[in-house]
Amino acid sequence: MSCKKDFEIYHIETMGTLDGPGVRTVIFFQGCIMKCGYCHNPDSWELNSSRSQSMSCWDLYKFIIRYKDYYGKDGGVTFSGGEPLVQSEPLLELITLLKEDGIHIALDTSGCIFNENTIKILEKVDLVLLDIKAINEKEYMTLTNNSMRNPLLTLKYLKKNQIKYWIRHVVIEGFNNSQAYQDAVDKMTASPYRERLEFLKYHTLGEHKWSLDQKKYKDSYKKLMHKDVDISK
Amino acid sequence: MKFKGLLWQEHIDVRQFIQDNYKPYEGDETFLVPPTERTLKLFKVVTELMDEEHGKNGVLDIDVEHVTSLLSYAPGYIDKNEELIVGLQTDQPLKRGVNPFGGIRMARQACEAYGYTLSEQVEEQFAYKTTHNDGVFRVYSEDMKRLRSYGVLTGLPDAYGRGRIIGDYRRIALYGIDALIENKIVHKKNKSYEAMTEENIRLIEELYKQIDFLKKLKAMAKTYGHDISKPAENAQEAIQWTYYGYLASIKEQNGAAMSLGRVSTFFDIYLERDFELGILDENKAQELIDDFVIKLRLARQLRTPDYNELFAGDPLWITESIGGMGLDGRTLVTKTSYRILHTLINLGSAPEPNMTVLWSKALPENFKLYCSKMSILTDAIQYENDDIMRQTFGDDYGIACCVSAMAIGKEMQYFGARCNLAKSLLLSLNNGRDEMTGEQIAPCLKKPLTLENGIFNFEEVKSSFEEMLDWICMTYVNTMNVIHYMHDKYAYEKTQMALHDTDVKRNMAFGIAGLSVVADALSAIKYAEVKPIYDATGLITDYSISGDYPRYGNDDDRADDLAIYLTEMFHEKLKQYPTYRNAKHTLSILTITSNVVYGKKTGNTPDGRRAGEPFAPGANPMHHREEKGALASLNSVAKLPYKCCEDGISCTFSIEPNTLGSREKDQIINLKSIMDGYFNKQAHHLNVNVFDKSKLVDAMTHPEKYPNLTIRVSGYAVNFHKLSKEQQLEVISRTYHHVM
Repeated sequence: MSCKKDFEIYHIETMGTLDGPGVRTVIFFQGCIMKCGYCHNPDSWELNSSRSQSMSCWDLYKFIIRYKDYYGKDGGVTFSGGEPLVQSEPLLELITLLKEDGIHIALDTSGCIFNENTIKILEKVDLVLLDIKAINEKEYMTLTNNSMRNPLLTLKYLKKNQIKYWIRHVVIEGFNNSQAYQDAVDKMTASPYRERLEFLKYHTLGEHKWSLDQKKYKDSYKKLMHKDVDISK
Repeated sequence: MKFKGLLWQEHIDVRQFIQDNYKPYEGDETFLVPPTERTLKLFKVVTELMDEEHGKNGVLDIDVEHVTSLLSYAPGYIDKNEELIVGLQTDQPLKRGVNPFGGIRMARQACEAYGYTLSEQVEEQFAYKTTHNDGVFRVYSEDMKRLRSYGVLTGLPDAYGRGRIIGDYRRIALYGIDALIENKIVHKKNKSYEAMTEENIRLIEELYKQIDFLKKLKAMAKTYGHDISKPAENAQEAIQWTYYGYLASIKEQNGAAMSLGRVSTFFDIYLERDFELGILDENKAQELIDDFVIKLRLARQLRTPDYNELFAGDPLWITESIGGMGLDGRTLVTKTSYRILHTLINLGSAPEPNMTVLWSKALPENFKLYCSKMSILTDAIQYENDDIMRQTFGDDYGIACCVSAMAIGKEMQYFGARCNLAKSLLLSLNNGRDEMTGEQIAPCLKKPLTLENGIFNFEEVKSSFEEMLDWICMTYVNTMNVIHYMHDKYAYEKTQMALHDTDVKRNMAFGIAGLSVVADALSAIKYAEVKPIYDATGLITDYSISGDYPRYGNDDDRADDLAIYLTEMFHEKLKQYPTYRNAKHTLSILTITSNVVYGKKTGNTPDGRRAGEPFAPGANPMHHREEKGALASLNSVAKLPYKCCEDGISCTFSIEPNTLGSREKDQIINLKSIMDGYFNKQAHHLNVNVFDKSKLVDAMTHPEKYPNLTIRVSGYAVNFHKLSKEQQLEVISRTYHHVM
């Protein structure tokens, strides 16, 4: 078994219980196109990083299978990042292999990459953990330095194709922690296929990981703090 | 109403009785009831006494006038009118008896440590008596003494009772003591027709002692007003008769671990019968179990502070093995498996009895979830793999101490503490010199290590280490032979062995400490570059490591294979040397709390560990070297082969509740899945702790806020406040699996 491309891995957590149901192996991939001002792991953004670990698709497959005994009836594997869709080519191959073993697969994504490979992957996974981040384009751009177009396409695709998903939203004190804001997120993402709506508290534990030239991405986001967001837009 | 089955009535066979009569229970815990007023009232007295004991440096009172035995003291009570199950070790609750049979010096020191003086009459009595300790030191060689005092072989049971023997206390309830005496008389007579070899003479004398002590046991029960000559008639008597057997054993012996066996499902048969007869309800049933457990929580031995440093928290390892599966595929879980675990709620969490759940893939789902929930609530349960133990020990085995399985009443073991594997490695690197003092304590190697560019060569290190271990294992086996010859001779377990078959299978249980240190050290030498650093006398005192290397605990076969190699190799080396009474060589990877002391006695190691730092407990990976999360760490431990470690492979798992899941229900299910996964991987043992590390830190400064804080450490549970400050800090520094 050989795969075309090796994975670049940021970190592996063999006992994940928060990123999807049951006990899960969580693979954090290196690489992300977003530049979120509140990112916990900015050192996961760049590909070909010196800190990441290279692993072939086959080796990663074998590694995940080692944990099958722990998954119980709900658990499985979660692909996270970074942004897992950055490495969609080998990821698609890996998912195909894992499906044959009946492993439950969750994809933890921001939905920022929406292309043919994304669709092929979405068709195969059992659950999508979507971090929609904002409720309008302007705010999205401020937070992430990216457009909200692809995330919204992803959300639409999930709803339309009846794919199970959880919405996971980072709550930042003084910015989007109001009930009205959360209601707006609820409304925007609601569908019969949404299984959970989670609001996760922002923490600053990743602050030391920011490099000097990454810090510029924080500027616009910082302006948002302590400013009430107009949710009517 | 008669019990079913004929076979168990023909000869002593408690297992057959259980199989013929027990009722498996697959339901949930909703039938359980809270403690009765009576239980609460009685337990309040006990709690107050325990507080008083804690205030008095851990020892409430010592009877220095008598030597402990079955008939040394007048009957003792907590509250005579309220107790359902009676019997105390001395005439007062928590008053400790003196047991000088292991060695008079240790007994004397123990009294003095708490401000007491051993009475003249006891001193006089033992002035002309050879103790186990005297016997051992008459024979110990210089090599043995050196390995012992330099900390290569430590915790050896040469000055206290060896323990780890489980009497089949249930036999008293099922058959009555007279039938057991009769049986032993017949055996003794039969043995007298055989050739009078040394072996046979020894056994006949032992049978004489067994019979004598069964009679004493009967007399002891009599002082409490019970006639145990006949079988128990109801549940209360069954529990009482069984408890008398256990009580007699802990009056006679101060073994390190005095385990209970597997009594709950046996009791369940009597409880169920009383239910059917209409003479018992659930409140009464739970009350009996609660009362029995209160008695077990009062059990104490008098120890020296040195001993406490090795085995912290005043433990007796009153291990009760719960659940498991029968050979016929029915579960051995009964309602009383739940009732005994429920005492952790009714009486609060506590270290004793040492609740040990025998986990099987096939255990009823309800029971698995209940255990998981109880672990999260109490941190007082350990789990052991029934599916792998059943293959070797059948379905009526019990756990002695932490992880030592043995068929109840059919097998016993010679406890052998452990060899400091890390120090052994350093001895080979230093050509037999002790790395702390520079003294030559082991023979020189045939060919000392040669270094290329000052760097260790893995193959060379490996063969030197094996050469050193040949000698260490020889000395270790011989030391054990001396200890157990003398223990049999001067401190034979009369009561407990009377509750065994006459011809028992014996295991000699060796152990290793520092497995993860040595696995990582060898991995560093193999995969990175390790240079020794010498002092002026040419002694290696430190190491410089350049480059990265795989570490045990990350599910990386390169490092984990080294750990496997070490256990297999060590076991093979032991087997080269014959044992006393042809015992089977077994091995454990278990340190209890002694990993702190072993660490203290060991210099810098080639894995980067600093001199004096604690080892990881048992088979655990070293603290903070696990980089892939909890399950990678568990997978590494699960790879260690039980086949060569039949005396157990201990692993302690500590996790913060939030890491197990965001909701309570998820936490319970996830913990269950983790145990299913781990044991499916053929792992042997798991201690489970679920709490925030911050709670322990807080408990160090504010003990009054957490009076019953029980935690699992290497194979048993302790009250956190009974650990020394050093041990508390070590527990806190261990890897906690948590999320950001």
